[in-house]
Amino acid sequence: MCTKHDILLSFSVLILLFVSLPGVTLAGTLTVSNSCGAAPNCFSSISAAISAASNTTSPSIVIEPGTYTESVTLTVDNLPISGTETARTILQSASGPAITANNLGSVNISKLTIVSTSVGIQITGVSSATISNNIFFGSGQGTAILFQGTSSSGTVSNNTFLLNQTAISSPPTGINIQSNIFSRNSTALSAALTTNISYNDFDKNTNNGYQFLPSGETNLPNTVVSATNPIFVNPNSPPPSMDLHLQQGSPCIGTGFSGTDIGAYGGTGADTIPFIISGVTLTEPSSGSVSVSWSPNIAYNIGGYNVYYSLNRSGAPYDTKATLASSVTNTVITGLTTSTTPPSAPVLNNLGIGNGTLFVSWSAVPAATLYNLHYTDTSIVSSATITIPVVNTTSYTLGGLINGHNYLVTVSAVAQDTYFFSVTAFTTGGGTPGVSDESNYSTEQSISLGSSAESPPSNSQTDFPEALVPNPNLVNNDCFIATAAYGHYSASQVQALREFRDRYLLTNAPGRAFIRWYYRYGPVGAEFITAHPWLKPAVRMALMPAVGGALFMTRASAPVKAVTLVSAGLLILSLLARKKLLHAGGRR
Amino acid sequence: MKKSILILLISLFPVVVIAAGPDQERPHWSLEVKGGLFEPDIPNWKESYGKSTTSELAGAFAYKITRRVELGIEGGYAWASGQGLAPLHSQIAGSPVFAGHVDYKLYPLSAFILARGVFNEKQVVVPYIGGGWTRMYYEEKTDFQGTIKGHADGYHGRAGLQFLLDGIDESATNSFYEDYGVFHTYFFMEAEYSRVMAETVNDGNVNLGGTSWLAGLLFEF
Repeated sequence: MCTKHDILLSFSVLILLFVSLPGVTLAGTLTVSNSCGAAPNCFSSISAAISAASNTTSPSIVIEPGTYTESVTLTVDNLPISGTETARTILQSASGPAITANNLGSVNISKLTIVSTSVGIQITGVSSATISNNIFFGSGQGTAILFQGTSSSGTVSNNTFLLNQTAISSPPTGINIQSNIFSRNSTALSAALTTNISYNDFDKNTNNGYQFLPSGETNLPNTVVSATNPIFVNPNSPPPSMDLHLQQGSPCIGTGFSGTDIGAYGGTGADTIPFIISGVTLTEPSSGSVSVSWSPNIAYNIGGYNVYYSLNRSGAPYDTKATLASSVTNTVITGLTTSTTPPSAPVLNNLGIGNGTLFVSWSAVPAATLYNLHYTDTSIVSSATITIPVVNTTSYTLGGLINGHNYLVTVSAVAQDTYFFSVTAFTTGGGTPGVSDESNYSTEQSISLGSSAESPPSNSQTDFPEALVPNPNLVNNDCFIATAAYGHYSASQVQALREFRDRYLLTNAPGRAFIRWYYRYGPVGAEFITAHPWLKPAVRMALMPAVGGALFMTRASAPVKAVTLVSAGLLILSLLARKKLLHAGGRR
Repeated sequence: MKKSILILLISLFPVVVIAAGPDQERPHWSLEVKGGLFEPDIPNWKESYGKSTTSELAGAFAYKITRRVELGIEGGYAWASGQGLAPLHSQIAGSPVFAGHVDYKLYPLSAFILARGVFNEKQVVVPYIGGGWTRMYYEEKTDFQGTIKGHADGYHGRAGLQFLLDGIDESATNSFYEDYGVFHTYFFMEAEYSRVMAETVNDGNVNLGGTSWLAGLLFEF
């Protein structure tokens, strides 16, 4: 029989169970992406995904292409971290190790391009480390993989180490180093191990690169193959342009473990998506045809190219695909149809008013490739209509207009058929770009074909520009022209003029009238001087008497001013008297 | 005369410093961080800027001459975006026509004296009142017409209530004192009125100040 106590006890146990449960458990795969949006289990940083992994059953982290700048600390045991495209999944650290793993049972890192001038991966006290199919790029500095303490087992396989100070520092004897390319590092391996090093390519490492050979007869160079240059597609640009796929003739092709390739793109877990195509250009050799050319992907395993295109629609999926052989780097697509149907007229909104400007905006018209903006100054008889082409926007600010003049404005839409093109490379036939054996789409290019068709003009709008009055309409403390000429508001000459204004002009009606006039037209002069810096010395010379007068009036004592003014008056009077005398026939 | 006043002030300075008593167990400085609404006194403000108030942020730093009286400086920033009046269009339409885009910014800089009604270090509610001199720097940018800059001088007064937060988390309060020397932390709300007359082009002088309604945190250390 249930008593009140039993119910209370059961309720308490339930509450205890609820609060003692760990956080929300997520699904196994956590995605890292620079464009997650509202996608579930997607994180903008690797560190955030690692934090979430602690609440996930059998977690793994998959990183989408992008550049991630962070220092990652692995805090979850047995958490595989993998990029989706080696070359385009870039992890870089501003300072310190890009990845740190301390005292974990198992670490598995693959298919990343790790850029670091400090340490790429730092492993301390890890029982089993698996590091595969990564690229380590150090710009001639830093350590790609730094082992500290003891790591009992693991493999460092199918990685490419390029331009690091040290590729692998202090590798423990239990680590199997296999099928890696060590190219142009100062030191490939900091410890001269004699076992567990096989199928690696040691190329142009300047210091201690492969002194332990020939115990590894499978390594390059060996008694059969002396060539070590892996012949990368493009090792001379930094990521993301750097392409460390192998070219035809590379000694690393098929010479790795089990006949696989050596380096980041070899082995069973390698990224098989070809490097993205660049340099796509379009021309129109004749009516209805487009010549498409691109920079070739010279990786040895490229099987061909797909050229995708659509009419008047940007982005994937494209309407049409043309497949071409790997030897082809340009093609002419013919039979492209165009239509010349005029688009509908846009609707012109009321004009916005400004000082010497009119703001024009209108409704977007589907299929319009540009808009022609027409305006006429109707205050001037027989004024010509001016047309301005406006691309990629539905608003425009007409400038340089005369305040108070009426302007008649219309807009028309222009349509011209546009084809959008993108090119991919594939290895064995292709399928879906960015998946399996076909590269992602290249940067899209477009070309307009055929003749254009213009809509009827929109409704017209008429208005006139005028200077606006802000609230409050404050006085500018700047002496516009002097500030423009002397370069700074606080120049001593400008301060003298400002002080003169405050003491001698603002205190009387004519002075204030002058200031009002000056505030109206001064900014125009200042703008002109600022736009023509060569005028500044001349304006400074012209202002010199004014500055001198202002300095005298504001700095000199009253008696000095009185004596000077009286002297000046007497001088002027004597000069006038002398002139009168000369006119009357007197002697000099 | 000026020299006499200066000598008198200099001779009084050590007295002030001694009165401040650096060894006494009381805060000697205060720091305020605050924000809120500013309601300008400018006529027809709402028509130009869409609403009668705008945002304001400010900070103040003061030295406590005594436990209840402090001298300090305050800097702030208030801003609004609106439209300018088109005079000819307004004349034709027979009513105000606003157009374009105007960015209006104020940077008030003040020196103040403030009295806080602290009678007990554990007093939960403390009233305060103060005021002083204000220099208002202004900046007014109208599209295609350049920027008008300047400054004007005036005064301000403010009063408010501050609420002691120390009791909410005493361990945090103690850490704050041990790590940063902060004696007390208050939440405060205040009203401030400023009057700074500036010259306009056609309409005489206008008060750039107005009423501020601010709230923030006060740290005494």
